[in-house]
Amino acid sequence: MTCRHVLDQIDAETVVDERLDLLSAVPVHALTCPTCAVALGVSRDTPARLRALATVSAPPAFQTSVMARIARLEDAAPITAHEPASADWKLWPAAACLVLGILLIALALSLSPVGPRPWHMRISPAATTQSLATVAALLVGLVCYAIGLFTPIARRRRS
Amino acid sequence: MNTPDQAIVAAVLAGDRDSFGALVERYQHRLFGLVLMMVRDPGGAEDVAQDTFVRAFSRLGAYDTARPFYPWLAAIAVRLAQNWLRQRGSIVRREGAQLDDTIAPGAMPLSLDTLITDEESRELWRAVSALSSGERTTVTLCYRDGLPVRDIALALGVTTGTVKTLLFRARRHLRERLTSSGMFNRELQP
Repeated sequence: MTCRHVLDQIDAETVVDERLDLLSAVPVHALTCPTCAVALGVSRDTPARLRALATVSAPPAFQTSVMARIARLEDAAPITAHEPASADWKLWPAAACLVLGILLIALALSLSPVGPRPWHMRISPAATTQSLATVAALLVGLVCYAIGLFTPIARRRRS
Repeated sequence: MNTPDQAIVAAVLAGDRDSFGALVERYQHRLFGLVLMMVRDPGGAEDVAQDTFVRAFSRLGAYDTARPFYPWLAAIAVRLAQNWLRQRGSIVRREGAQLDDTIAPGAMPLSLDTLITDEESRELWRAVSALSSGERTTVTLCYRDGLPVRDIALALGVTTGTVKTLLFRARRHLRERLTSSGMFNRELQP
């Protein structure tokens, strides 16, 4: 058991508790090795010291300033309990867009001709129209898919 | 007797705007301390903490009353503080390094020295200030605010495994720094 092992365990908080005597080799080393003993002491005391740091107070007029800002805010748009529902509804167009995009892509893939066409075969006007429709469906589908996918992410980033 | 947070939230949602003041009063110091620990600038911390309460008020309808209020508030604060740090970073990059003097790693803004008078606390603040942003936030939420790992993960938008890793690294860096400073070294009583 080296100091490095013990220090790893100290940092993982496996030995920083009240049951030192219940643990075997690690606490023995931690208590007898000067370096590890100091490290264990520091690690054990740090959480309590951090909790005691709560003495930093907010500025004196903090609450007044917050409430004044809220008053101005509420004059503009009063808060209601139904806000999350409306926020959820905003996602429906994006979801519909996503589904429409997937459907159009699937349709385009099912319409596209499968397999190579011999070079001497002429393309009929009907086939050309079908190809154009396939490409158009694919493009519109991809655009719908991208809009449906990225709109909620962009909205979340803005918020 | 303390009114439960959920009852205050219900009152605010019912139209009693002034009830929100009780929540501000209850959490202002705790939240200010958290934000200060994150942004390391008292002026910035005040702005971010105020923005946090205002945003919490405007989105109070989205708060799940089955869960404790403070972790939800802390999650908003963490996001706003991260935005503040990002904006501050871009200003520093754009306008030169002199603006970064007050938030250099390991350093502490002068005005913060006036907020903390106890030398041991000051040393601890310096040690926490020297941590990376993620480690600093995690350690603050865990030890100072007493949030469980799951709530910290929700506040930071990461997995619980990431939080545990950040805590491990933070503990190591704090131990190394505090041990080398010698201020906290004492004989361990078995």
